[in-house]
This record gives sequence, structure tokens and C-alpha cells, in this order.
Amino acid sequence: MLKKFVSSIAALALLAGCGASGGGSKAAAADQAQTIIKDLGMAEKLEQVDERVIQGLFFFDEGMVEDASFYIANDKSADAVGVFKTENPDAVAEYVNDYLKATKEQMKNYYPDEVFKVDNAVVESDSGRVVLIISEDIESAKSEAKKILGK
Amino acid sequence: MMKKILLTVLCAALAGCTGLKKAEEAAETASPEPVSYACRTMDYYDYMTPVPPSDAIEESYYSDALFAGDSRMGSLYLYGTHDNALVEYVTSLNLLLIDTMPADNHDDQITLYDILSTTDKSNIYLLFGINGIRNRSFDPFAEKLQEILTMLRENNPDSDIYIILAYHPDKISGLDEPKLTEQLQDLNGHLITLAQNNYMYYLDTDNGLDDDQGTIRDEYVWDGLHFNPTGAHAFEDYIATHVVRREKYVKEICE
Repeated sequence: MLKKFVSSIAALALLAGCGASGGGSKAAAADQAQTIIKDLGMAEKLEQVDERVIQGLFFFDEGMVEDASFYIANDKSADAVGVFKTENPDAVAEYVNDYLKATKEQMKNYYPDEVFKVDNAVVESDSGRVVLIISEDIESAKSEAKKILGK
Repeated sequence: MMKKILLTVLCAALAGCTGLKKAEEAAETASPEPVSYACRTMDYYDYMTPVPPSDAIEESYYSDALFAGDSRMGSLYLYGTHDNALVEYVTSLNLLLIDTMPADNHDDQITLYDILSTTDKSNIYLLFGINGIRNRSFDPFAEKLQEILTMLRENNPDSDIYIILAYHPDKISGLDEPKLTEQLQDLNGHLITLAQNNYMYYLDTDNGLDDDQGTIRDEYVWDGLHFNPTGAHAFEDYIATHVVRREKYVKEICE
């Protein structure tokens, strides 16, 4: 009985530990976005934007996103990192793709060298999160998104 | 009969004298209060309409002018003829990121928001919005612009602030007609409302720089949107001949 109890506690503790790390689904969007930025070495060129700006960039419907964190380039490049926690990842991914379409049109006009990044932006999701990464290092971005989502 | 007439004349004379005396007494006994007038400043400008044509403004006006905006305003930086004017812009500016994106032609990461929040210019022109033309809604844009206008008005209570409406470009990539026209109307509707609500002026350059299709004249733009030198000069002329002279509209009324 005691053995079973101890095993259960140990299992719960392990799960809780996972949740607190950058890779768990319960981690705050901001923590996960920061993990991505740190791992991809993008800290110097990205700045976090506030919730109101996120809404103005993505136009999510009310209640669509429970928790969000978005970082955007401060050097006019297309670079960006976003983590959006949601119960409706398909819908959120659609809005994220709309953002990418608009960004691509902008970049085509003003910074055509950036278009390839937008074309190859990583949009990965699981049942509760959507991760967006726009980066020059496309392969690392893909791996990082999968790592964050525990895939 | 004659006696009656004389009596009447005598009474009238007496009455007149008495009345005069009463008026004199009243004047003598009244306290000598100074005549006072309540004065107030009245602004007769019609903020509901775009700035009407005016005589061209003198060159010295530009020494106290700031032209701020996106790359459309950048045409004044590139081709403008008023060297004393300050032109600040951000290529590809999304207004929501005005305090994140660095201003063009600066090496120190200064943003357009930084520039606007420290300006002391008396004539401020703003041209924003075209880079959000594909947006689902202009409400977040309008909210951000209101924040900027509030800041400008607080910092520069006596400045004249002009909001320039988005002129109709020939084309915008990824946005076909009639959607483009609908989006422009939506954007400009927000800009007009902001101008009216904040008692600021707005310039409708479509009425002057457009062709018979209602879009910007082909000879003014090199890519359908951005002014070439000819267009920049026409834009300058439009601005110079659409200046609100406050003395014409603001009067002091005393009663």
C-alpha cells in the first residue's frame, strides 16, 4: 500500500516537474516563448509586445486565446516568435496564417529578402497550443517548435 | 378752452422736469460700478470637413513643421523641397509597433514614437494606416492612434495637428478591388472620426491628387502607392495650399 502511494506521489511529482519546465503544456506562454528565443539565439533582435498589440496583429476572436506571448523583431526583419494557448488550435492557426499572409505582402514590397523566412515560417500546434516561429534558421526553428510541444 | 391747453402744457412740462430730475438723481445715487464684459475664445472652424484650400503658406512655416508617417511620408524626405522641414518616417510601419520599429535614417534605434513624444513643433502632420490596410479591423489601429494624439495634444496644446487621410493607391499587393476601396473607406472613416473627436484638422488629398478613376494619378507614383519626385512635389503643393490659419477661425467674443 505504502509502495503504491509512494509511486503515485513520485509519478505526480515527475508530471508536475515536466509542467514547470519550458516544454510542458501547462507552462505559461511567456515562459515557452522565452525558451524558444533563448534556444534559437534570437534575444537581441526580438521585443515582447503587449496583449493589446497581439490582438491588433492577429485579430483573434474574443476568448479564442487563453494565454499568449509574442515577440517581434526590432530591426524591421520578419523574425518573430509566438506561443498561443487555446482550446481551438485549428482556428488560432488559421489566424496566425492570415498574419503570415499579410506580413508576406508587406515584406514583398519593402524587404523582399525577408519573404523566404515568412514562406518558411513554422506553425506547429498540439491540442492546446500553437507555436509560431519566423527565423532564418528554418531547421532549428522546426526542431524547437516540436521540442516545445513535446513532439 | 385756452386755459385747458395751458394747464396741459404746464403739467407736461412739470412731468418732464420731474422725470429728468429722477434720472439725474438715479445717476447720482448709483454706485460707480465699472462696465464688465465676459470674453471667450470661439473656434469657428468646421472640424467635420476636410481642410479647405488656402493661399500657399510661407516658407518659414516649415521650420516649425514635422511630417511623420510611413513610407508614403518618406517621399518628402527623399524628394521634398523644404529643407527646413523635419520629416520622420518608418518604412513598412505598423502603427501598433510604432514604439518598437526603428525610425528610418537613424542609427540609434530611436522610434517614431520617441520622436513624436519629444517634438515641440507647432505644425504636425501625420500619415499612417496603409500598412494595416489588409487588417480585419481598424479598431486596434484607431485605439493606438488615439493614444498618440492624446500624447501629442498633452505635450503640445497649441500645436496644429493635421491627420492626412490615406489616398487611394492604384494598387496594393494582395488586395484587389472592390475590397481595397472598402478597406480605404473604413480606414479613412476612422481617421476622420479621430480628427473630429480630437478637434484636429484632416487633409483629404484624394480631392486634388486623384485622377478621373478616383485613384492617385499615375504620374505621381512609381509603384502605384509611393510618390515619385513629381508626386512628392504635388503632395507638397497640396499641403502648402491647405493650411488652416487659426486667426481666420478663432475669435475672441466679448459680451
